Amino acid sequence: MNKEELILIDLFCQHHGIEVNFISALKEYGMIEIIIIEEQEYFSLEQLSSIEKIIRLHNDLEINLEGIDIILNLLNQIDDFKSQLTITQNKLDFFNKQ
Amino acid sequence: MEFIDYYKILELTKTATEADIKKAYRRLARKYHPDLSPNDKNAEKKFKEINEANEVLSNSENRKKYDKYGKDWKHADEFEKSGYNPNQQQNSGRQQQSSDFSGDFSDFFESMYGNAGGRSREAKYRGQDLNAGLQLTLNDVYKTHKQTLTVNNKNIRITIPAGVENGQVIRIPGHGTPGANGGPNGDLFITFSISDIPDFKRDGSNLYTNVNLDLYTAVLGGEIFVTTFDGKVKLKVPPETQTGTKVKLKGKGFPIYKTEDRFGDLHITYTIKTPVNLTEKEKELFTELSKLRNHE
Repeated sequence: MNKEELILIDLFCQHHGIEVNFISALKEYGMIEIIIIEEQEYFSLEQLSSIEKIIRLHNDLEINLEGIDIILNLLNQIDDFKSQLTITQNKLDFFNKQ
Repeated sequence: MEFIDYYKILELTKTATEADIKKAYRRLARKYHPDLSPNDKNAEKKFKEINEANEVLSNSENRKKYDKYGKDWKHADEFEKSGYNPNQQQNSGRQQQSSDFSGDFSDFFESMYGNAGGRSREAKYRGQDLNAGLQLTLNDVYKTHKQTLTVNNKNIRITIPAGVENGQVIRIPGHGTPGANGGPNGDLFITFSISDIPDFKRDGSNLYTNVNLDLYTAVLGGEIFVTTFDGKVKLKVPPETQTGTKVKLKGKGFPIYKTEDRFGDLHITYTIKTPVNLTEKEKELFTELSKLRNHE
């Protein structure tokens, strides 16, 4: 993976004022993937918004990681349902026009 | 500035204990957290109100000031020094003071951050998400293209991927309202409204169209040209083709969203057009044909 698409975990933790252990815990829970290059830990840019969401949920609502994992899974399910609903609505429109 | 009833926001009465406040805050914050209710502007506003109410009421000093001075609680120290009595409503000095205290929630946050009473980890707030709608036709989303949108007086150049669906929402990270006090920007959500064009109907990545066949080609077979999104295609029509016959042109449909160079199919339904305004000679020949068919 291109290094420009990676975020150095130390720098990220410094920016958000969080412990590196927190990110390690996310990895332990299987919620993120960490990439090690030359003994430095990174995560991919595409995981950024998800990790920031986890931090907000943890800080604002004092939800533990198990809870956050459940919430994220349910939010993903809601997104899937919304997509399916859009596709179904379009199909219905298609048949109504027949 | 209107009086904001923090107790009402937290659905509490003035007699609420510290534990009641904490419990109410947690319950309402879970209910209205913007990450749990994306696209809901009201939830975002409520969440800010709840946080503001909690910042004040969960701090016993601030709560005392708020109970005594209401909306002007932040100036309690000045009032105490000047001997101001908040219960004297007609006090002209108060009227003068009030006009200086105008502001809203964001005003509050600005003044609150860095205040010893505030919890530092709550200082950053994510900006609001914005919603926009974009009306396009099938032609517009056949190929990936860039388009400039004006959202809140700001021009944003976005890439619209080919094959985007009607009703689909795409998120443009960081293009919502700026965050408060260094918090991240909100996101921009664009809902696509994509209308069909004459001759083509879309179902996902498949396209449907009707093609008129003249009677003679339908009966004897032949070659026709069919218009697709990808240009004209030559098609062989077998003899004795019936009206309603369906033909599938593989890969001539609509692009599959975010899948490069993959397309759905084009489904063609033939409609045979009966000739009109027949000449006497044509009528004669058709009658002859009819007789031949009836003798079989």
